[in-house]
Amino acid sequence: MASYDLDMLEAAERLLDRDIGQRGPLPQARIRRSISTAYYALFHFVLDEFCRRVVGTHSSLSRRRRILARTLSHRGLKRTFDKIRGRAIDASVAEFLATSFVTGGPAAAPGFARTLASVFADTQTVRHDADYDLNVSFSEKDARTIVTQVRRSISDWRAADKESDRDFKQALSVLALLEGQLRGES
Amino acid sequence: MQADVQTLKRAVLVAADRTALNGLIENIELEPAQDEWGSDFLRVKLRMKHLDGIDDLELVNLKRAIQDDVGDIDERFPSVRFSDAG
Repeated sequence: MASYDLDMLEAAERLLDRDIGQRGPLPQARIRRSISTAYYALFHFVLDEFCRRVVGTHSSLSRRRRILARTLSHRGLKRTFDKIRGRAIDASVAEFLATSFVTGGPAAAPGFARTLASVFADTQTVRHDADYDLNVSFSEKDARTIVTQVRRSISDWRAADKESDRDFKQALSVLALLEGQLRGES
Repeated sequence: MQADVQTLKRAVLVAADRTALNGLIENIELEPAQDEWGSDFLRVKLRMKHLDGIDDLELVNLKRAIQDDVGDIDERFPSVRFSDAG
């Protein structure tokens, strides 16, 4: 059974399909809808992933996961991912995200997490322009690139399954519940 | 930490030079912007000599290279978009 995020990515791709013989640029409305749909594919993937890490994966817990997912916000996820997408993890959360698997704590987030964080920041920014700013135009290639990078970042995240990867994912999930801020941060 | 527009454009070109799309950027438009919560970011529009035949993954890799290099000199996230000179 396909997951909700993959269904949404397929929908984003279908919006870019051309009819037989169709030429010229695609309508902006379809390009913008595709970008927006790809962002929400990623957003819902992240919600599901973080809630599974925190609540658990058993089917009997699905309602609890969904209730928890409603507490996660676009802004809180942005703040969380902003702290790990750079070449080094933000100092305010580096110790929290450090694992016993990496001596001295990780200077940078694992590649799969850093990639997802960058794609989230990029896609969220583009999605906002696509949904609200008609002064900003987008090319079909913009939408296709967004769909490709979302699909790849989700795939890379899912494939990362070493013990240290799982540990980082779990800590990041908790940080997301705290909207990316630990106590005492301004 | 913020860099001026010319420095940022140079960083974009240096990053592009390391990718398979080296030499395909015809023009760079770069403007500071704010997201819906008031955080600063950079809207970067790359006009490519052509987009036909370019693999999506090559554009993804170009974006990533720009994000890394610009991130070294400017705290604002570069949001990269593409257009076709044709």
